[in-house]
Amino acid sequence: MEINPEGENANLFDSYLNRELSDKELLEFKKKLESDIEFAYKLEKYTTTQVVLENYALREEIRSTLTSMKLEKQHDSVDYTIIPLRIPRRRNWMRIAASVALLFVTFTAYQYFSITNNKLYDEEFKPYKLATERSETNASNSIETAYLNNNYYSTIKSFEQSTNHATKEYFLAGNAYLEEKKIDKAIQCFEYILSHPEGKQQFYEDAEFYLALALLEKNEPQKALAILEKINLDKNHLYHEKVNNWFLLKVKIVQLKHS
Amino acid sequence: MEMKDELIDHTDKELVELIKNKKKSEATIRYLYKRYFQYTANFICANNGMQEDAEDIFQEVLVAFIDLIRKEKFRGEATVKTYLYAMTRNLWLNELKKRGRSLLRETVYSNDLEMTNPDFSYAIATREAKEQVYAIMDLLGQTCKKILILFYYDQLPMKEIIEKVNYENEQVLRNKKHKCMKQLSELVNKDENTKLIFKNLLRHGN
Repeated sequence: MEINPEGENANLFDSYLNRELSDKELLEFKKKLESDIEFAYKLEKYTTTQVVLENYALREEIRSTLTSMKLEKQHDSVDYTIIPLRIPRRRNWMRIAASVALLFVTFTAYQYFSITNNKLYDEEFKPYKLATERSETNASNSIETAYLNNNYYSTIKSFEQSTNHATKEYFLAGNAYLEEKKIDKAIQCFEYILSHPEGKQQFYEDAEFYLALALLEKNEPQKALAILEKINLDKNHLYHEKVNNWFLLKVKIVQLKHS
Repeated sequence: MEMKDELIDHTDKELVELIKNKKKSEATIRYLYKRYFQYTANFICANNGMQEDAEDIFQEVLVAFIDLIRKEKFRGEATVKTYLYAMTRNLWLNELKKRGRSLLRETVYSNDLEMTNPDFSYAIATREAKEQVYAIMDLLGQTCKKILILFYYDQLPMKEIIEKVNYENEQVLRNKKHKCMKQLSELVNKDENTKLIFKNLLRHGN
């Protein structure tokens, strides 16, 4: 293990700044601050650094949200873009602008007509890849074994023949059902995980994403959209990056066509 | 299909609680923008500013406002709307002063929105420190930035950070975090001028 001389102080400073020191530790910490100028100076440096970091992170978060909103606004207003037909001056520039606008309209129209719930599902669905590194090479039961061997039929069979399943087994079975196009069964598995609080520890966020995909495949885009919008808003969600604004837009198009 | 964005109304108290909840940050920022941007932009556009100025100032106002709330410095003596408006006005007047506009004299004042003893120096201090903060953070690598932000700003536990940055184990990640923090600390405390700007941030922030 690498030894890091800065680490010890950093951990102590973190605990102090997060008010995690016990009364005794706090007393000792304050004594040290008063008696050790070097230590006090280090704390001041550390605190200043944290303020800079927090300020930067907050700015970035605000900047990126406002930029996304601006882009969405521009995108929403594309329907109202007027392509000029008679242009007395700056003909070339306007021609280029008109061509770009036309291309954009064509592209949007293509997206509108070509996107379907099944197509979107096929693009996004990839069966969950179970970790097989190091000590995890041995599957704990027949469901996992079958799943690791990409034998989805056997996964389902083992799942249906046994009872008292763990969250992981529900999740793997859900994926196997999706592979076998048994969408309702898949939905049941994912909904089971989401309805049990203990599931939040493991596979909860995965289940949310795969449930949304299953609903999409079942042609229930409105329900899928509600879950995907939640994932999109939660930047700590495991699938936040996957569910980007472009993906959401495509689901919205599917929903628009569906309604 | 309902594509229209429906804006749920929040009371000021609810809004303050939402701002404190970092997990809901993006939704809250969107709400603040939709609810208050136009209102503050009208002031700037009516006082020699452009749409871009309004956006820039609103961004600064949000940074300062959210930071004040998260540091429990917002006393709630005025409504959020009044507070944001007053901050915008203050920042914009300061900006006009910097630009040396004689037009400053023509600026509209509205006495009904005056607040008792507001502390806007923090917002101004952060605005001046903005470029410095970005310049320094740009010197850090992407991975370092990500780890530090996830740990110190998003306050995620190491277990969750490790999934996002692909490190072998927690100890390696911990060592990397310390190295990154050390590097950033050296950059921040490199020279007295830079340090002074950040100390100013610290003084207002804590």
